[in-house]
Amino acid sequence: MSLSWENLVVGYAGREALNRPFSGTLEDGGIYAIVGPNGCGKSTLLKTWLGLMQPHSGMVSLNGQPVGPREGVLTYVPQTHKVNRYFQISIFDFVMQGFGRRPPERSDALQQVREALVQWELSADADQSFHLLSGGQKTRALVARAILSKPKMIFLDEPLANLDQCCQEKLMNTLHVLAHRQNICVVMVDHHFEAYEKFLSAKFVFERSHNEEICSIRYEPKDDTCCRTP
Amino acid sequence: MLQDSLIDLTTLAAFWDADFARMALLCTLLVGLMCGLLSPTIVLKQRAYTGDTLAHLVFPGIVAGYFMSLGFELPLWASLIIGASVTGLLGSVLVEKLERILSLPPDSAAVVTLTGFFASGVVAVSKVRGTRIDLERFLFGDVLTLSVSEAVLIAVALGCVALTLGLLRRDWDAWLSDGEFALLVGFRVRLIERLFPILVTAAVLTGLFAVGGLMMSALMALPAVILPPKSALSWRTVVLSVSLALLGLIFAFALDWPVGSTIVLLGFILVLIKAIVVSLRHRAVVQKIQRVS
Repeated sequence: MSLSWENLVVGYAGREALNRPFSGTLEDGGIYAIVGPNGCGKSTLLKTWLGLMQPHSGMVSLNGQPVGPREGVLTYVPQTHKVNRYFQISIFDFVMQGFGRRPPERSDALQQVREALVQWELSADADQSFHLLSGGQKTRALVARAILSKPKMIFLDEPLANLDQCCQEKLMNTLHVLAHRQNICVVMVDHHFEAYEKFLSAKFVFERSHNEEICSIRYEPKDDTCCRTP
Repeated sequence: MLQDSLIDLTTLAAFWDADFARMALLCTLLVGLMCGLLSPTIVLKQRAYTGDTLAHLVFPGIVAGYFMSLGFELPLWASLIIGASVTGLLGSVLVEKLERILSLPPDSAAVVTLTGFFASGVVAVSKVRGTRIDLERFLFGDVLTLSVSEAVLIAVALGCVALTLGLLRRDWDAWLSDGEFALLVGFRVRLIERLFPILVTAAVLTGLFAVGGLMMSALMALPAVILPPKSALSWRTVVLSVSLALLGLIFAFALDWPVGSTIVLLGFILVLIKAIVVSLRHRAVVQKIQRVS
Protein backbone atom coordinates (compact mmCIF):
# COMPACT_ATOMS: atom_id res chain seq x y z
CA MET A 1 0.00 0.00 0.00
CA SER A 2 1.54 3.29 -1.07
CA LEU A 3 0.23 6.80 -0.61
CA SER A 4 2.28 9.34 -2.52
CA TRP A 5 1.99 13.03 -3.23
CA GLU A 6 3.82 15.38 -5.56
CA ASN A 7 4.27 19.13 -5.12
CA LEU A 8 1.29 19.05 -2.79
CA VAL A 9 -0.15 22.34 -1.58
CA VAL A 10 -3.23 22.19 0.62
CA GLY A 11 -5.91 24.77 1.40
CA TYR A 12 -9.59 25.55 1.06
CA ALA A 13 -10.91 26.42 -2.40
CA GLY A 14 -10.88 30.15 -3.03
CA ARG A 15 -8.60 30.80 -0.06
CA GLU A 16 -4.83 31.14 0.35
CA ALA A 17 -2.55 28.10 0.19
CA LEU A 18 -1.47 26.75 3.57
CA ASN A 19 1.94 25.29 2.76
CA ARG A 20 4.84 25.31 0.35
CA PRO A 21 4.82 22.44 -2.20
CA PHE A 22 6.13 19.17 -0.81
CA SER A 23 6.39 15.61 -2.06
CA GLY A 24 6.70 12.21 -0.42
CA THR A 25 5.47 8.67 -0.07
CA LEU A 26 4.04 6.69 2.83
CA GLU A 27 4.17 2.95 2.39
CA ASP A 28 5.24 0.99 5.45
CA GLY A 29 3.48 0.38 8.72
CA GLY A 30 4.24 2.90 11.43
CA ILE A 31 2.79 5.83 13.34
CA TYR A 32 3.28 9.18 11.63
CA ALA A 33 2.48 12.41 13.48
CA ILE A 34 1.45 15.69 11.90
CA VAL A 35 2.37 18.51 14.24
CA GLY A 36 2.26 22.29 14.11
CA PRO A 37 0.55 25.35 15.53
CA ASN A 38 -3.23 25.89 15.42
CA GLY A 39 -4.64 26.79 12.03
CA CYS A 40 -1.50 25.86 10.08
CA GLY A 41 -3.31 23.22 7.98
CA LYS A 42 -2.71 19.90 9.77
CA SER A 43 -6.31 18.63 9.46
CA THR A 44 -6.51 20.02 5.91
CA LEU A 45 -3.43 17.98 4.96
CA LEU A 46 -5.01 14.87 6.56
CA LYS A 47 -8.24 15.35 4.59
CA THR A 48 -6.34 16.01 1.36
CA TRP A 49 -4.38 12.78 1.78
CA LEU A 50 -7.70 10.98 2.37
CA GLY A 51 -9.18 12.42 -0.82
CA LEU A 52 -11.91 14.24 1.12
CA MET A 53 -10.56 17.62 -0.05
CA GLN A 54 -9.09 18.67 -3.37
CA PRO A 55 -5.49 19.89 -3.15
CA HIS A 56 -4.76 23.54 -3.86
CA SER A 57 -2.18 22.21 -6.32
CA GLY A 58 -0.21 19.02 -6.85
CA MET A 59 -1.63 15.54 -6.63
CA VAL A 60 -2.15 12.65 -4.22
CA SER A 61 -2.26 9.04 -5.37
CA LEU A 62 -2.90 5.69 -3.74
CA ASN A 63 -1.09 2.80 -5.39
CA GLY A 64 -0.60 4.96 -8.46
CA GLN A 65 -4.29 5.90 -8.80
CA PRO A 66 -5.81 9.24 -7.74
CA VAL A 67 -6.78 8.93 -4.08
CA GLY A 68 -10.47 8.36 -3.36
CA PRO A 69 -12.85 6.20 -1.37
CA ARG A 70 -12.05 2.49 -1.68
CA GLU A 71 -13.58 -0.03 0.66
CA GLY A 72 -11.26 -1.41 3.32
CA VAL A 73 -8.28 0.71 2.35
CA LEU A 74 -8.42 4.08 4.09
CA THR A 75 -10.31 4.95 7.24
CA TYR A 76 -10.69 8.04 9.33
CA VAL A 77 -11.23 9.01 12.96
CA PRO A 78 -12.62 12.57 12.81
CA GLN A 79 -12.98 14.95 15.70
CA THR A 80 -16.09 14.07 17.75
CA HIS A 81 -18.07 17.15 16.66
CA LYS A 82 -18.04 15.90 13.05
CA VAL A 83 -20.69 13.30 13.92
CA ASN A 84 -24.24 14.56 13.30
CA ARG A 85 -25.35 15.71 16.76
CA TYR A 86 -29.05 15.41 15.97
CA PHE A 87 -28.89 11.73 15.08
CA GLN A 88 -29.77 9.57 18.11
CA ILE A 89 -27.99 6.52 16.70
CA SER A 90 -27.00 3.88 19.28
CA ILE A 91 -23.33 3.15 19.98
CA PHE A 92 -23.82 -0.41 18.73
CA ASP A 93 -25.22 0.69 15.36
CA PHE A 94 -22.62 3.45 15.12
CA VAL A 95 -19.68 1.07 15.59
CA MET A 96 -21.36 -1.43 13.22
CA GLN A 97 -20.95 1.15 10.43
CA GLY A 98 -17.24 0.33 10.47
CA PHE A 99 -17.97 -2.74 8.34
CA GLY A 100 -19.01 -0.51 5.46
CA ARG A 101 -21.42 -1.78 2.83
CA ARG A 102 -20.47 -5.43 3.02
CA PRO A 103 -20.52 -6.62 6.62
CA PRO A 104 -19.62 -10.23 7.45
CA GLU A 105 -22.35 -12.74 8.24
CA ARG A 106 -24.75 -11.28 10.82
CA SER A 107 -23.77 -13.41 13.83
CA ASP A 108 -20.07 -12.84 13.09
CA ALA A 109 -20.64 -9.08 12.65
CA LEU A 110 -22.55 -8.83 15.94
CA GLN A 111 -19.82 -10.78 17.74
CA GLN A 112 -17.07 -8.52 16.36
CA VAL A 113 -18.96 -5.38 17.37
CA ARG A 114 -19.53 -6.76 20.88
CA GLU A 115 -15.82 -7.55 21.20
CA ALA A 116 -14.88 -4.06 19.97
CA LEU A 117 -17.25 -2.50 22.52
CA VAL A 118 -15.72 -4.59 25.32
CA GLN A 119 -12.19 -3.69 24.19
CA TRP A 120 -13.00 0.03 24.25
CA GLU A 121 -15.08 -0.20 27.49
CA LEU A 122 -18.31 0.81 25.80
CA SER A 123 -20.37 -2.36 26.21
CA ALA A 124 -22.39 -0.92 29.13
CA ASP A 125 -23.47 1.94 26.85
CA ALA A 126 -24.13 -0.12 23.70
CA ASP A 127 -27.77 0.97 23.42
CA GLN A 128 -27.07 4.55 24.50
CA SER A 129 -27.24 7.36 21.96
CA PHE A 130 -23.78 8.41 20.70
CA HIS A 131 -24.42 12.00 21.74
CA LEU A 132 -25.14 11.13 25.36
CA LEU A 133 -21.57 9.89 25.81
CA SER A 134 -18.68 11.92 27.19
CA GLY A 135 -16.02 13.29 24.81
CA GLY A 136 -13.63 10.45 25.69
CA GLN A 137 -16.28 7.77 25.16
CA LYS A 138 -17.15 9.30 21.80
CA THR A 139 -13.51 9.16 20.72
CA ARG A 140 -13.33 5.50 21.77
CA ALA A 141 -16.46 4.73 19.72
CA LEU A 142 -14.92 6.49 16.70
CA VAL A 143 -11.69 4.50 17.08
CA ALA A 144 -13.62 1.21 17.49
CA ARG A 145 -15.62 1.96 14.32
CA ALA A 146 -12.48 2.83 12.34
CA ILE A 147 -10.55 -0.28 13.40
CA LEU A 148 -13.52 -2.51 12.59
CA SER A 149 -13.22 -1.43 8.95
CA LYS A 150 -9.88 -3.32 8.80
CA PRO A 151 -8.06 -0.54 6.93
CA LYS A 152 -4.61 -0.53 5.35
CA MET A 153 -4.16 3.08 6.42
CA ILE A 154 -5.84 4.88 9.32
CA PHE A 155 -5.97 8.66 9.71
CA LEU A 156 -6.84 10.21 13.08
CA ASP A 157 -7.67 13.87 13.75
CA GLU A 158 -6.77 14.86 17.34
CA PRO A 159 -7.83 11.56 18.93
CA LEU A 160 -5.90 12.16 22.18
CA ALA A 161 -7.59 15.47 23.01
CA ASN A 162 -10.63 14.04 24.83
CA LEU A 163 -8.98 10.98 26.37
CA ASP A 164 -7.66 10.57 29.90
CA GLN A 165 -4.08 9.34 30.30
CA CYS A 166 -5.11 5.71 30.67
CA CYS A 167 -7.14 5.76 27.44
CA GLN A 168 -4.42 7.72 25.63
CA GLU A 169 -1.93 4.96 26.47
CA LYS A 170 -4.39 2.28 25.44
CA LEU A 171 -5.01 4.00 22.11
CA MET A 172 -1.30 4.46 21.42
CA ASN A 173 -0.60 0.82 22.30
CA THR A 174 -3.41 -0.37 20.01
CA LEU A 175 -2.13 1.82 17.17
CA HIS A 176 1.40 0.53 17.79
CA VAL A 177 0.19 -3.07 17.45
CA LEU A 178 -1.72 -2.21 14.26
CA ALA A 179 1.30 -0.41 12.82
CA HIS A 180 3.94 -2.98 13.59
CA ARG A 181 2.14 -6.34 13.64
CA GLN A 182 -0.36 -5.71 10.86
CA ASN A 183 1.82 -3.26 8.90
CA ILE A 184 -0.89 -0.57 8.95
CA CYS A 185 0.09 3.00 8.26
CA VAL A 186 -1.25 5.27 11.03
CA VAL A 187 -1.30 9.03 10.49
CA MET A 188 -2.25 11.27 13.43
CA VAL A 189 -2.81 14.96 13.92
CA ASP A 190 -2.47 15.96 17.59
CA HIS A 191 -0.91 18.31 20.12
CA HIS A 192 -0.28 15.73 22.83
CA PHE A 193 2.66 13.63 21.62
CA GLU A 194 5.09 14.63 24.43
CA ALA A 195 4.56 11.38 26.35
CA TYR A 196 4.28 9.22 23.23
CA GLU A 197 7.36 10.12 21.19
CA LYS A 198 8.61 6.53 21.56
CA PHE A 199 5.63 5.27 19.51
CA LEU A 200 6.27 7.55 16.54
CA SER A 201 8.01 6.44 13.36
CA ALA A 202 8.23 9.96 11.93
CA LYS A 203 6.78 13.45 12.13
CA PHE A 204 5.54 15.92 9.54
CA VAL A 205 6.27 19.30 11.11
CA PHE A 206 4.57 22.50 9.91
CA GLU A 207 7.13 25.29 10.31
CA ARG A 208 6.91 28.98 9.60
CA SER A 209 9.95 31.24 9.47
CA HIS A 210 9.59 34.79 10.81
CA ASN A 211 9.48 36.37 7.37
CA GLU A 212 7.26 33.73 5.72
CA GLU A 213 3.48 33.86 5.47
CA ILE A 214 2.92 30.19 4.75
CA CYS A 215 4.37 27.06 6.34
CA SER A 216 6.91 24.61 5.04
CA ILE A 217 6.37 20.97 5.96
CA ARG A 218 9.49 19.22 7.24
CA TYR A 219 9.75 15.45 7.34
CA GLU A 220 11.48 14.31 10.54
CA PRO A 221 12.06 10.54 10.61
CA LYS A 222 12.80 8.50 13.73
CA ASP A 223 14.06 5.76 11.45
CA ASP A 224 14.62 5.96 7.70
CA THR A 225 12.60 3.01 6.51
CA CYS A 226 9.07 4.37 6.59
CA CYS A 227 8.64 7.37 4.37
CA ARG A 228 10.58 8.68 1.42
CA THR A 229 10.82 12.35 0.65
CA PRO A 230 12.76 13.57 -2.34
CA MET B 1 -70.69 27.32 15.93
CA LEU B 2 -68.70 24.59 17.70
CA GLN B 3 -72.00 22.85 18.39
CA ASP B 4 -72.80 22.90 14.66
CA SER B 5 -69.42 21.44 13.95
CA LEU B 6 -69.91 18.67 16.48
CA ILE B 7 -73.27 17.87 14.95
CA ASP B 8 -71.43 17.55 11.65
CA LEU B 9 -69.35 14.80 13.24
CA THR B 10 -72.43 12.57 13.45
CA THR B 11 -72.88 12.77 9.70
CA LEU B 12 -69.21 12.10 9.03
CA ALA B 13 -69.79 8.43 8.23
CA ALA B 14 -72.16 9.34 5.40
CA PHE B 15 -69.59 11.83 4.12
CA TRP B 16 -67.14 9.00 3.27
CA ASP B 17 -69.62 7.63 0.72
CA ALA B 18 -68.69 10.45 -1.65
CA ASP B 19 -65.98 9.69 -4.23
CA PHE B 20 -64.11 12.95 -3.57
CA ALA B 21 -63.93 12.13 0.16
CA ARG B 22 -62.48 8.68 -0.49
CA MET B 23 -59.97 10.20 -2.93
CA ALA B 24 -59.05 12.80 -0.27
CA LEU B 25 -58.55 10.01 2.27
CA LEU B 26 -56.32 8.02 -0.11
CA CYS B 27 -54.19 11.03 -1.07
CA THR B 28 -53.83 12.20 2.54
CA LEU B 29 -52.69 8.70 3.54
CA LEU B 30 -50.14 8.58 0.71
CA VAL B 31 -48.83 12.07 1.55
CA GLY B 32 -48.65 11.12 5.25
CA LEU B 33 -46.63 8.00 4.42
CA MET B 34 -44.26 9.91 2.15
CA CYS B 35 -43.65 12.68 4.69
CA GLY B 36 -43.11 10.11 7.46
CA LEU B 37 -40.47 8.35 5.35
CA LEU B 38 -38.61 11.55 4.45
CA SER B 39 -38.98 13.26 7.82
CA PRO B 40 -35.90 11.72 9.56
CA THR B 41 -33.55 12.80 6.77
CA ILE B 42 -35.11 16.25 6.47
CA VAL B 43 -34.67 16.90 10.20
CA LEU B 44 -31.36 15.10 10.81
CA LYS B 45 -29.70 16.75 7.80
CA GLN B 46 -31.07 20.12 8.99
CA ARG B 47 -32.97 20.58 5.77
CA ALA B 48 -36.37 21.44 7.26
CA TYR B 49 -36.40 24.58 5.15
CA THR B 50 -36.01 22.53 1.96
CA GLY B 51 -39.73 21.90 1.57
CA ASP B 52 -40.54 25.54 2.16
CA THR B 53 -37.85 26.60 -0.30
CA LEU B 54 -39.09 24.19 -2.97
CA ALA B 55 -42.68 25.29 -2.46
CA HIS B 56 -41.61 28.80 -3.47
CA LEU B 57 -39.13 27.76 -6.16
CA VAL B 58 -41.81 25.90 -8.10
CA PHE B 59 -44.18 28.88 -8.23
CA PRO B 60 -42.79 30.47 -11.44
CA GLY B 61 -42.86 26.97 -12.96
CA ILE B 62 -46.53 26.66 -12.06
CA VAL B 63 -47.23 29.97 -13.80
CA ALA B 64 -45.21 28.86 -16.84
CA GLY B 65 -47.00 25.49 -16.80
CA TYR B 66 -50.38 27.24 -16.81
CA PHE B 67 -49.47 29.15 -19.95
CA MET B 68 -47.94 26.03 -21.49
CA SER B 69 -51.24 24.21 -21.04
CA LEU B 70 -52.98 26.99 -23.00
CA GLY B 71 -50.37 27.18 -25.76
CA PHE B 72 -49.56 23.50 -26.32
CA GLU B 73 -52.90 21.93 -25.40
CA LEU B 74 -51.28 19.81 -22.71
CA PRO B 75 -53.37 18.56 -19.76
CA LEU B 76 -53.13 21.19 -17.01
CA TRP B 77 -51.75 18.78 -14.38
CA ALA B 78 -48.98 17.59 -16.74
CA SER B 79 -47.86 21.06 -17.76
CA LEU B 80 -47.91 22.26 -14.15
CA ILE B 81 -45.74 19.31 -13.08
CA ILE B 82 -43.29 19.93 -15.96
CA GLY B 83 -43.03 23.67 -15.21
CA ALA B 84 -42.73 23.14 -11.47
CA SER B 85 -40.09 20.40 -11.88
CA VAL B 86 -37.94 22.61 -14.08
CA THR B 87 -37.93 25.65 -11.78
CA GLY B 88 -37.76 23.45 -8.66
CA LEU B 89 -34.61 21.66 -9.83
CA LEU B 90 -33.12 24.84 -11.33
CA GLY B 91 -33.69 26.70 -8.05
CA SER B 92 -32.23 23.85 -5.98
CA VAL B 93 -29.06 23.86 -8.07
CA LEU B 94 -28.85 27.67 -7.77
CA VAL B 95 -29.19 27.48 -3.95
CA GLU B 96 -26.29 25.01 -3.84
CA LYS B 97 -24.15 27.12 -6.21
CA LEU B 98 -24.77 30.37 -4.30
CA GLU B 99 -23.95 28.61 -1.03
CA ARG B 100 -20.64 27.33 -2.43
CA ILE B 101 -19.50 30.26 -4.57
CA LEU B 102 -20.40 33.05 -2.12
CA SER B 103 -19.65 30.93 1.02
CA LEU B 104 -23.17 31.65 2.32
CA PRO B 105 -24.88 29.79 5.17
CA PRO B 106 -27.39 27.32 3.60
CA ASP B 107 -30.47 29.10 5.00
CA SER B 108 -29.39 32.49 3.56
CA ALA B 109 -28.78 31.00 0.11
CA ALA B 110 -32.20 29.32 0.26
CA VAL B 111 -34.09 32.45 1.37
CA VAL B 112 -32.45 34.65 -1.27
CA THR B 113 -33.26 32.20 -4.05
CA LEU B 114 -36.78 31.27 -2.95
CA THR B 115 -37.89 34.87 -2.61
CA GLY B 116 -36.35 35.72 -5.98
CA PHE B 117 -38.15 32.85 -7.70
CA PHE B 118 -41.45 33.51 -5.92
CA ALA B 119 -41.26 37.22 -6.77
CA SER B 120 -40.71 36.40 -10.46
CA GLY B 121 -43.86 34.23 -10.39
CA VAL B 122 -45.89 36.98 -8.73
CA VAL B 123 -44.68 39.56 -11.29
CA ALA B 124 -45.56 37.18 -14.16
CA VAL B 125 -49.08 36.69 -12.80
CA SER B 126 -49.62 40.41 -12.21
CA LYS B 127 -48.55 41.33 -15.76
CA VAL B 128 -50.91 39.00 -17.56
CA ARG B 129 -54.50 40.12 -17.38
CA GLY B 130 -57.20 37.56 -17.05
CA THR B 131 -54.87 34.95 -15.51
CA ARG B 132 -56.71 32.78 -13.05
CA ILE B 133 -54.04 30.96 -11.07
CA ASP B 134 -55.38 29.99 -7.67
CA LEU B 135 -52.50 31.13 -5.43
CA GLU B 136 -54.33 29.94 -2.33
CA ARG B 137 -54.65 26.42 -3.69
CA PHE B 138 -50.94 26.38 -4.53
CA LEU B 139 -49.96 27.49 -1.02
CA PHE B 140 -52.49 25.54 1.03
CA GLY B 141 -53.70 22.81 -1.35
CA ASP B 142 -57.19 21.42 -1.72
CA VAL B 143 -57.44 17.74 -1.05
CA LEU B 144 -61.14 17.70 -1.99
CA THR B 145 -60.49 18.47 -5.65
CA LEU B 146 -57.86 15.80 -6.36
CA SER B 147 -58.23 13.51 -9.36
CA VAL B 148 -57.06 9.94 -9.99
CA SER B 149 -54.07 11.16 -12.03
CA GLU B 150 -52.86 13.27 -9.08
CA ALA B 151 -53.30 10.29 -6.72
CA VAL B 152 -51.24 8.13 -9.11
CA LEU B 153 -48.48 10.76 -9.18
CA ILE B 154 -48.35 10.85 -5.37
CA ALA B 155 -48.26 7.03 -5.28
CA VAL B 156 -45.38 6.91 -7.79
CA ALA B 157 -43.38 9.46 -5.78
CA LEU B 158 -44.12 7.51 -2.59
CA GLY B 159 -42.96 4.28 -4.27
CA CYS B 160 -39.66 5.90 -5.29
CA VAL B 161 -39.07 7.27 -1.78
CA ALA B 162 -39.91 3.95 -0.07
CA LEU B 163 -37.85 1.88 -2.50
CA THR B 164 -34.80 4.14 -2.23
CA LEU B 165 -34.88 4.26 1.57
CA GLY B 166 -35.53 0.53 1.85
CA LEU B 167 -32.72 -0.50 -0.50
CA LEU B 168 -30.15 2.01 0.77
CA ARG B 169 -31.07 2.09 4.45
CA ARG B 170 -27.58 1.29 5.82
CA ASP B 171 -25.93 3.71 3.39
CA TRP B 172 -28.50 6.33 4.32
CA ASP B 173 -27.85 5.89 8.07
CA ALA B 174 -24.08 6.08 7.60
CA TRP B 175 -24.46 9.27 5.53
CA LEU B 176 -26.71 10.81 8.19
CA SER B 177 -24.32 10.11 11.07
CA ASP B 178 -20.94 10.92 9.44
CA GLY B 179 -20.85 11.49 5.69
CA GLU B 180 -17.06 11.65 5.33
CA PHE B 181 -16.46 8.33 7.10
CA ALA B 182 -19.34 6.77 5.16
CA LEU B 183 -17.74 7.87 1.89
CA LEU B 184 -14.32 6.50 2.86
CA VAL B 185 -15.56 3.03 3.82
CA GLY B 186 -17.56 2.65 0.63
CA PHE B 187 -21.16 3.57 1.49
CA ARG B 188 -23.01 5.02 -1.51
CA VAL B 189 -22.85 8.60 -0.28
CA ARG B 190 -22.54 10.26 -3.69
CA LEU B 191 -25.64 8.43 -4.93
CA ILE B 192 -27.68 9.44 -1.87
CA GLU B 193 -26.53 13.06 -2.14
CA ARG B 194 -27.89 13.09 -5.70
CA LEU B 195 -31.10 11.22 -4.90
CA PHE B 196 -32.10 13.14 -1.78
CA PRO B 197 -32.93 16.51 -3.45
CA ILE B 198 -34.72 14.69 -6.28
CA LEU B 199 -36.89 12.72 -3.85
CA VAL B 200 -37.73 15.81 -1.81
CA THR B 201 -38.60 17.72 -4.97
CA ALA B 202 -40.86 14.86 -6.11
CA ALA B 203 -42.55 14.74 -2.70
CA VAL B 204 -43.17 18.49 -2.55
CA LEU B 205 -44.40 18.65 -6.14
CA THR B 206 -46.83 15.78 -5.83
CA GLY B 207 -48.10 16.91 -2.43
CA LEU B 208 -48.45 20.50 -3.64
CA PHE B 209 -52.06 20.25 -4.79
CA ALA B 210 -53.13 17.96 -1.95
CA VAL B 211 -52.03 19.91 1.09
CA GLY B 212 -50.10 22.82 -0.44
CA GLY B 213 -46.40 23.61 -0.65
CA LEU B 214 -46.06 25.28 2.72
CA MET B 215 -47.92 22.48 4.49
CA MET B 216 -45.73 19.83 2.82
CA SER B 217 -42.74 21.60 4.30
CA ALA B 218 -44.21 21.35 7.82
CA LEU B 219 -45.45 17.78 7.37
CA MET B 220 -41.98 16.63 6.36
CA ALA B 221 -40.42 18.15 9.48
CA LEU B 222 -43.03 17.51 12.21
CA PRO B 223 -42.87 13.69 12.66
CA ALA B 224 -39.12 13.56 13.31
CA VAL B 225 -39.29 16.66 15.52
CA ILE B 226 -41.95 14.99 17.70
CA LEU B 227 -40.32 11.54 17.72
CA PRO B 228 -36.53 11.78 17.12
CA PRO B 229 -35.59 8.83 14.87
CA LYS B 230 -32.75 6.34 15.33
CA SER B 231 -32.57 5.51 11.64
CA ALA B 232 -33.35 7.11 8.27
CA LEU B 233 -36.13 4.55 7.94
CA SER B 234 -38.06 4.95 11.18
CA TRP B 235 -41.36 3.11 11.49
CA ARG B 236 -42.53 5.15 14.48
CA THR B 237 -42.04 8.35 12.48
CA VAL B 238 -44.05 6.85 9.61
CA VAL B 239 -46.86 5.70 11.95
CA LEU B 240 -46.97 9.14 13.61
CA SER B 241 -47.07 10.90 10.25
CA VAL B 242 -49.91 8.72 8.91
CA SER B 243 -51.84 9.09 12.20
CA LEU B 244 -51.44 12.88 12.06
CA ALA B 245 -52.63 12.92 8.43
CA LEU B 246 -55.69 10.79 9.18
CA LEU B 247 -56.66 12.65 12.35
CA GLY B 248 -56.13 15.97 10.58
CA LEU B 249 -58.38 14.89 7.71
CA ILE B 250 -61.17 13.79 10.07
CA PHE B 251 -60.95 16.99 12.14
CA ALA B 252 -60.83 19.11 8.98
CA PHE B 253 -63.99 17.48 7.55
CA ALA B 254 -65.77 17.67 10.89
CA LEU B 255 -64.87 21.30 11.59
CA ASP B 256 -64.85 22.46 7.95
CA TRP B 257 -61.19 23.56 8.16
CA PRO B 258 -58.55 23.29 5.38
CA VAL B 259 -57.02 19.80 5.53
CA GLY B 260 -53.29 20.69 5.26
CA SER B 261 -53.53 23.44 7.87
CA THR B 262 -55.45 21.19 10.28
CA ILE B 263 -52.81 18.44 10.06
CA VAL B 264 -50.02 20.96 10.64
CA LEU B 265 -51.88 22.51 13.59
CA LEU B 266 -52.29 19.07 15.20
CA GLY B 267 -48.56 18.43 14.77
CA PHE B 268 -47.68 21.85 16.13
CA ILE B 269 -49.82 21.22 19.23
CA LEU B 270 -47.95 17.93 19.78
CA VAL B 271 -44.61 19.78 19.50
CA LEU B 272 -45.78 22.32 22.12
CA ILE B 273 -46.97 19.51 24.43
CA LYS B 274 -43.61 17.76 24.02
CA ALA B 275 -41.76 21.00 24.82
CA ILE B 276 -43.83 21.47 28.00
CA VAL B 277 -43.32 17.84 29.14
CA VAL B 278 -39.54 17.97 28.49
CA SER B 279 -39.24 21.29 30.28
CA LEU B 280 -41.24 20.03 33.32
CA ARG B 281 -39.18 16.84 33.44
CA HIS B 282 -35.95 18.86 33.27
CA ARG B 283 -37.18 21.14 36.08
CA ALA B 284 -38.09 18.12 38.23
CA VAL B 285 -34.58 16.66 37.78
CA VAL B 286 -32.95 19.98 38.73
CA GLN B 287 -35.16 20.27 41.85
CA LYS B 288 -34.32 16.70 42.85
CA ILE B 289 -30.57 17.41 42.53
CA GLN B 290 -30.96 20.62 44.56
CA ARG B 291 -32.84 18.73 47.31
CA VAL B 292 -30.12 16.03 47.49
CA SER B 293 -27.30 18.58 47.64
